Amino acid sequence: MNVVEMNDVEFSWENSTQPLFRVSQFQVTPGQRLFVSGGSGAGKSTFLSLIAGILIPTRGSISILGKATNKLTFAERDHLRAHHMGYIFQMFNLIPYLSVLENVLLGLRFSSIKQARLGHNNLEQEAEAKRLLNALGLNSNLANVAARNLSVGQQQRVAAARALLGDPELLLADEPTSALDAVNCAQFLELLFTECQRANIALIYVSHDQTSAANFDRQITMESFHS
Amino acid sequence: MILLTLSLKSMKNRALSSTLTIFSIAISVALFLGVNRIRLGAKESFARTIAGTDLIVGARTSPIQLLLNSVFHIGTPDNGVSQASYERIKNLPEVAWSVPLALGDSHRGFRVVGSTAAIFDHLQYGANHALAFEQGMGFQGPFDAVIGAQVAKQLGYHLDQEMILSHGTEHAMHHHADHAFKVIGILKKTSTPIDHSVIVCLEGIRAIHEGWHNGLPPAPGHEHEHEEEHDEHEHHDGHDEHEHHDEHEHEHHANEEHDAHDHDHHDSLSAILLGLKAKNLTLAVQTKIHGFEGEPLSAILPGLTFYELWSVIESLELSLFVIGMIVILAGILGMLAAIMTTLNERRREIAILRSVGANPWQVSTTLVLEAFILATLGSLLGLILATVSIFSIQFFASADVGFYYPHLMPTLFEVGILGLVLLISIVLGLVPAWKTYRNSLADGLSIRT
Ligand SMILES: Nc1ncnc2c1ncn2[C@@H]1O[C@H](COP(=O)(O)OP(=O)(O)OP(=O)(O)O)[C@@H](O)[C@H]1O
Ligand SMILES: [Mg+2]
Repeated sequence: MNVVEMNDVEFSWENSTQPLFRVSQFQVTPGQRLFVSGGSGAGKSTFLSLIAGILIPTRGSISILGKATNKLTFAERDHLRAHHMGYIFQMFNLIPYLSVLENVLLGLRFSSIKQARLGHNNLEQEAEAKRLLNALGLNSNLANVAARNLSVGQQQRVAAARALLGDPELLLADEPTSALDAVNCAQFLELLFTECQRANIALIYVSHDQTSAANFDRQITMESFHS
Repeated sequence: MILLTLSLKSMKNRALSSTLTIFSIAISVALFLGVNRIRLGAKESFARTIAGTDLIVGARTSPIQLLLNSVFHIGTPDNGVSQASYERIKNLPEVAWSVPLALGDSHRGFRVVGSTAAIFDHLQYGANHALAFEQGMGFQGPFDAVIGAQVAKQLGYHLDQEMILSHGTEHAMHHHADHAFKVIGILKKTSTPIDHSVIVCLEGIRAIHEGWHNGLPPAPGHEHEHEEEHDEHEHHDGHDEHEHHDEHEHEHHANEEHDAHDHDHHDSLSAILLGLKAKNLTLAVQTKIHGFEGEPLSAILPGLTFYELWSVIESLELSLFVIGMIVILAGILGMLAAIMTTLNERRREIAILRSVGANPWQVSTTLVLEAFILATLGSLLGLILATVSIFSIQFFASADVGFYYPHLMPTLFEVGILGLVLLISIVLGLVPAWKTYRNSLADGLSIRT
């Protein structure tokens, strides 16, 4: 079953007459790494919001793991996201007054399914969170530091750990490296790939910067959806 | 559970603002509860001042005036009840006991109450407590005095202490220096005006005023002839005497000033407390006393008159209540304002929560929870503040003000008010919650900076 499947999708914002984009056919298979590029305002973030179930298409249907989001209720779409997706923002990924570990574990809090995958035991959950932090290159003695004290690069790693925790089927990343320098960026991406591969997580990675596009299984541009 | 944790951590993150908000609610709640408890305490201590007395008799005056004079020792009656009427009333077949009261003298600012030994048997307060002795006993001779708990405490008096009574009550001008009284008994604390009284027997009162007329001491030089003077006076037209001294009246704060009756006014009484053989005789006896020929008298039912007096004060109660509620509302609005100012900085947090699967409803619940927690902590703190301050008033000042509020636990009414505070907080908490709900729908996963 495809992780994401779109058929004749059209999306336009409420107050605009012109559709932002049209997607006649689009699939993401399990574990696939997809690079989505596009200029500023091309609709990359909007595209991710549609997949995440925050927005629903004006026309056509989007299915996540076989479920059509436009046929689900608000709450069901939120559940779908909680259970089967991880999300990384461009910046400000963390709740500043929670510790690093608490921020990572936040990824489990709204999903019984993710918790079940790790075992309902708190210690097991924490152990996996710490393993991910380590795997993403963060020293485990940072675990109890307040998130606000981290550098931007460190914050993005914590965000990645949160999104990966509980092995969701799909990871959505909205320009997660745009605030990082080139070395950090390459390193971050590599670690992300390793973890996605380990758990067979599909990755949709959005960026306006083509530099790392070649490392992905597939590349598309938002512009190709404009008509 | 995670929502509660998030609310608590978010409040802890803004510890100063949260603490101030909690205190502002606590102070408003404490103010409301405090005012309410003082009101109830005043009423309680007011109502418990006298018990077991069926009628209070005095010279004709308004019932409230008579109650204030005889029970609360506020002011002194203009006229007295003659000895003759006292005898008549005492011997009415319906009367079980009578306690005469002669007021008008003082000792270092404390009221002197002239009475008979019956006062220790029949005067009751609160839940029908009789007067009890801390030390000593009731008076035996004419110059024995029994003092209230506060008199003993404030003046540091002990048994056998000698004391000089003064004439008048507010600014005593004349001291009855030739007759010293001796403390023979000290009463237990009652939290009523009795604590501030010196009780002596009627004979003692009579003796120190020997030779007095219309509240004036005998003229200097006449002191040894006061027996004669007294006798002479019996044959005089007292009216002359009265006019003669008019110009000095103000200096002496004359009390129990008599009409034109031609007998020594110190035989007259300020009031008489009556206990009847049966409660249902009260109205009959009242009518009987009102109908006495020769002397216009009033007989009042203390309970009824008390409520008449309280109803004057009661009109204030509603305004106090309304003011209190407004103060609480101001406290809650302060909390609302504090929460509203954080909404913008929270938009990021909300997008994060949405990204990990929280729905808009859950996200906005954290705000209602926050309002609820702040209001709960504020209310509890306010309750503690009110309880502590009311009890300190009772322990440190009750003695002086006679204030009495016996409840440690909040009353049902107070619990209701606290519930209302929480309800209002939740309802007002819906405002930021609704705004957050709208924001989270509009923002989705975009992080506003
Ligand atoms: N909530 C919204 N309501 C209406 N229009 C919106 C909203 N969010 C975005 N848009 C519009 O949709 C278009 C695409 O925005 P989007 O954020 O998806 O672009 P983007 O490709 O992510 O750009 P960037 O690279 O700057 O992040 C823009 O023209 C934007 O103005
Ligand atoms: Mg974007």
